[in-house]
Amino acid sequence: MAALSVPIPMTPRVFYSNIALPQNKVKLAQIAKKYYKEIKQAETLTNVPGALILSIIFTESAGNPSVVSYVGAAGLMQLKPQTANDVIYLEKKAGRLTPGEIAVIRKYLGNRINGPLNQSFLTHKIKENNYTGNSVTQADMLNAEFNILMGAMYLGILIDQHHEVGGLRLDKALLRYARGYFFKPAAGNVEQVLDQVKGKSTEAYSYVIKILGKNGLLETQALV
Amino acid sequence: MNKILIGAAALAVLLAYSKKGKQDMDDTNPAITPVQKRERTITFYKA
Repeated sequence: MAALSVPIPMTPRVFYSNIALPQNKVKLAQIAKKYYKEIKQAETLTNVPGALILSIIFTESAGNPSVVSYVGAAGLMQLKPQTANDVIYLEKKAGRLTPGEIAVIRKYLGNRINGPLNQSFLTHKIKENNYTGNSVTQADMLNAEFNILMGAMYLGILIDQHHEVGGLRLDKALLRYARGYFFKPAAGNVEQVLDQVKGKSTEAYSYVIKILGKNGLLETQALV
Repeated sequence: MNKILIGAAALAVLLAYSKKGKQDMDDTNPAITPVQKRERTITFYKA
């Protein structure tokens, strides 16, 4: 499989002003230093770039491993327990769970890993309030190593679902990370997709520009 | 006998409907493969 090359910035749209750039650079470096081991491990196990994982952590939690949102998304990469549960299920279903990933998951879930492994359909199919939390819990999501691996695996699924004719559509993958697995981005090029989402969710619109836009977090990491 | 057959048929329909309701919503998303994950190499370049 050929390498997937992504242009940075992916859109000329700007979220961060020039004034914010030095501050963002410092904060990114602080998070990268604090979670270097966990990010590197997730990158190695999933083949999702560490720079992208770091950008999500910055955007979602600013590096705070204890933050819990009002909808129950928790930890560094702000995943709901249900989502982590479904990530394990989806990867198992596709035959993509690796021994290295299983070892990390088992370290935190123990035998509860059998919950998602033995699932026969997505928990999101069930109404969320019926989720009993007997597999992945919110407390699990507050462990940095588990959280970052789950976030990277989730991103990997979304990335693989958006290889399109013109290349990898990271904009669509990130929109779905922000808005949920079942969100359907519009058809069209990056600008058309952003125009469509702008009218629906300012938060999701900003999310993509923060990471992929001009002065965005990937550009700030000087990887280009 | 007829009542039993009708009852069995109704049960079969009910079970089929119930199973359909539990189908994966993921069926609407593109399939993902182990090769995609194993060989995933993403690079960034200056636009």
